[in-house]
Amino acid sequence: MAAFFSKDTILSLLADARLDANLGTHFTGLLVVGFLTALLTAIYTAKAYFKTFWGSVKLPDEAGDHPHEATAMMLMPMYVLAVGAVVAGGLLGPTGWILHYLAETPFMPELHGEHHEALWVMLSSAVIAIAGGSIGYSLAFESTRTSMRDSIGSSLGDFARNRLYIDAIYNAMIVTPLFWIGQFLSWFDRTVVDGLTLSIANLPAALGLFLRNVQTGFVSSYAYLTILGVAALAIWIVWQ
Amino acid sequence: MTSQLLPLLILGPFVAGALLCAFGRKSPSVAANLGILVAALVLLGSIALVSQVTLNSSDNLSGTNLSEVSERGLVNPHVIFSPGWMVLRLPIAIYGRGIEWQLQLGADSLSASMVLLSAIVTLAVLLMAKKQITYRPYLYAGLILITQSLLIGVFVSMDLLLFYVFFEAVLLPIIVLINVWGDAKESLKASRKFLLYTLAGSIPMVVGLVGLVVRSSSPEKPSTVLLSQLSDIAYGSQLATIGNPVASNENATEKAAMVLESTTKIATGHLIILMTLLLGLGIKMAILPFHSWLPTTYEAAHPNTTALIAAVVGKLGVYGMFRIVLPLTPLAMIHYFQFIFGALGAIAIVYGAMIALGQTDLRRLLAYSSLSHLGFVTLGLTAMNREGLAGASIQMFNHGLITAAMFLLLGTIEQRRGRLTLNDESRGLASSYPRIGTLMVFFTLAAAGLPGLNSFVGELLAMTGMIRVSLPITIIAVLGTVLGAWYSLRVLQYLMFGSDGRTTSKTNLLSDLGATELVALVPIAMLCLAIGVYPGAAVNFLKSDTDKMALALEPAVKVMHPSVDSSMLLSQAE
Repeated sequence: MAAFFSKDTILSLLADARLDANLGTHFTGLLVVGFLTALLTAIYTAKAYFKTFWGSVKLPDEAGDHPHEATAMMLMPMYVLAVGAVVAGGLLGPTGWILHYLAETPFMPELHGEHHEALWVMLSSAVIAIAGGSIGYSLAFESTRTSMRDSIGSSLGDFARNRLYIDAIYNAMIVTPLFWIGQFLSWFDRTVVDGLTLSIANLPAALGLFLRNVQTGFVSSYAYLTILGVAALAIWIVWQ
Repeated sequence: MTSQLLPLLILGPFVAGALLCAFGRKSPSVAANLGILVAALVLLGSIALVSQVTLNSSDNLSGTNLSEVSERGLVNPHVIFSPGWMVLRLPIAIYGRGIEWQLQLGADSLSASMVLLSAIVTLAVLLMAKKQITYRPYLYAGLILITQSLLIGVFVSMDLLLFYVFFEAVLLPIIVLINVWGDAKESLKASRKFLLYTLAGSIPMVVGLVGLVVRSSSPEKPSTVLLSQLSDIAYGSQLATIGNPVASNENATEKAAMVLESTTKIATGHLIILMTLLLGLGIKMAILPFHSWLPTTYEAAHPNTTALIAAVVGKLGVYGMFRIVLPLTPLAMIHYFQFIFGALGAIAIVYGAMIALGQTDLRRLLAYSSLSHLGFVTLGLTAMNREGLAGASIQMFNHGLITAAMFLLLGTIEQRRGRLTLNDESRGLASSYPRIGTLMVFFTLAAAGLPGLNSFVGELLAMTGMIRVSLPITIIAVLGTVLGAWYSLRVLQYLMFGSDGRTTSKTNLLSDLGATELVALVPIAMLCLAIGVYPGAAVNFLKSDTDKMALALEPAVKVMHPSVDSSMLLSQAE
């Protein structure tokens, strides 16, 4: 199969890289992660498979009484993909054709003869696959799942069910604050920026409101103001 | 080359518009159709103008040789219309000489692109108005055509006087358009605010323009208002102080200090003039914090009218920066305002996007989104180098197309559903109106700057230009693009999708877009796609003129802000 060969190549390369003098420990860590991930993958695929196709029949209401096989529209692409997976596996593993082809890419070194698949890596990934598959099989049934939950506790399951809380953290740290800032700026723009603008625009009117009181319409008061003005002017000239 | 097309493009729609206003009442629908016909003719004329400019700019210099630039001035229209009778004589003397100003219409690639934009948008607006404007459609068509003629007037004015006259005159039909067809409650207040706000800026601008003319004249030189001559004088004084940047490689530091001192002196001398210009143009381009007329106006006006205001009228300020500030007061602009305006542009991008995120009213949301995207134009403009200016000029065109289309689409949605907010009631429009939905998704993606659509080209160029001038400003702008994608996708999610629409489509079952509306919108979409896929044609067209300007500005930027990365300075690239 395609994925076996490609992932196995990566794992065996990691196994080789452990011998590196400086970064050996890092690559060991990566190799462990790789094996662990392979185990988890085997578990969840097996669980999904057995639960879907082997367990007792549970139908949602809208599906009606009897399930039917998928239509050709959906099956044909699946066949093509299945054949592709096998053929790609053949091209990748036994013949190594794909690797040669990829080596045509600039800056991509070809895997040379000195590299050979470490047998123990292959064997251990096979073991891991079988082990994961059987764990997945047992998990597909309710009774084992309950006993598992009793022994490990449900926190890990919750953690996984909530997608490791990454979405929640992202929401709380970035999305919500930005929304709040948006709301605040919208208020700010309407009240402060526009408010300031409008109050500057209102200044002449306000000034007029004040000056309007001076316009009484009485000739005597105008005369009085004129005399005041003339007096002020006279004082100013004398002062000079 | 003299082109009769220039006065025709102004007079044609003006006369047609005035006639429609006066006599259209007798048969309004015929009048509206005649308006569309005139707009279509103007579009043909503007395409002809673009081709004239293209032909003549290839005869002309490509504008990459510095000495040739200094001979010909920075503003150098490829086609002109300047007959002998277009002279203004006034009995006022400057340096003992009576005023005798030759006026000029003309077009370079920037003018031609803006004329084309206003022709496209006007035609689209009139086509959409056929279904949406029911009250006195003939008057609407007439006023839109008059607005168009005045807008074209701004874009093809090659002297300060005509520029200013058209720049102000545009306001009048716009005010009527906002008032008569706008929102009944808000439009009076909004249009008054728009008018007073822009006047508050442009009245001082007159002082600045007069100052420019007076300062550029001397006892030996008669005064002039021609942009080509004025820019020549400005560039001449810059050359005299900075010298030819290509040749000046000898003893660096001492000379640099001297040059900096003398350029600063020129810059300070122009400071007051520049400030009045920036007040007038800055308010028109809605630069922060002088933007508050924009959301109010866009909210109050009919979306159809807003399409024209946002797409073309909103560009007048930026266009004025290109035409007047950059060529005539370059040193003062670089010395005092380059970084301030750049930062304001970047802040506008983020600020507008954040506010758009907090809006639920669609008109306001689009208004702030428009404000945010205009920030990229400011950014490219203030970068003042090759990429920046090319980006700003192409983005002016792109932004016009996209905003016009968005507001026109909003008009069609409001026609079917009334004023909308982003709440649950209005979900799932795409299933009721698949054509509106498709176009909305397309233009939203275009606005968000999806690679392969037109905005991407302009925004990328503008940011590429800015990154050499100021990294922090560019970083802020890039953050804004992320926010831009967020709020626009939110609109799609809430408005277009999120329900199959069956629950809401009971009321007001108007059909999807009809043939007329598709004719108005689909070509705009095609143009957006064409510029996005093959930007070379449009960019090269504009670059022939913006490069020339960058060639003059970049050495000055380098002198005044030594920190600016000059590794790609034009003189070395040649």
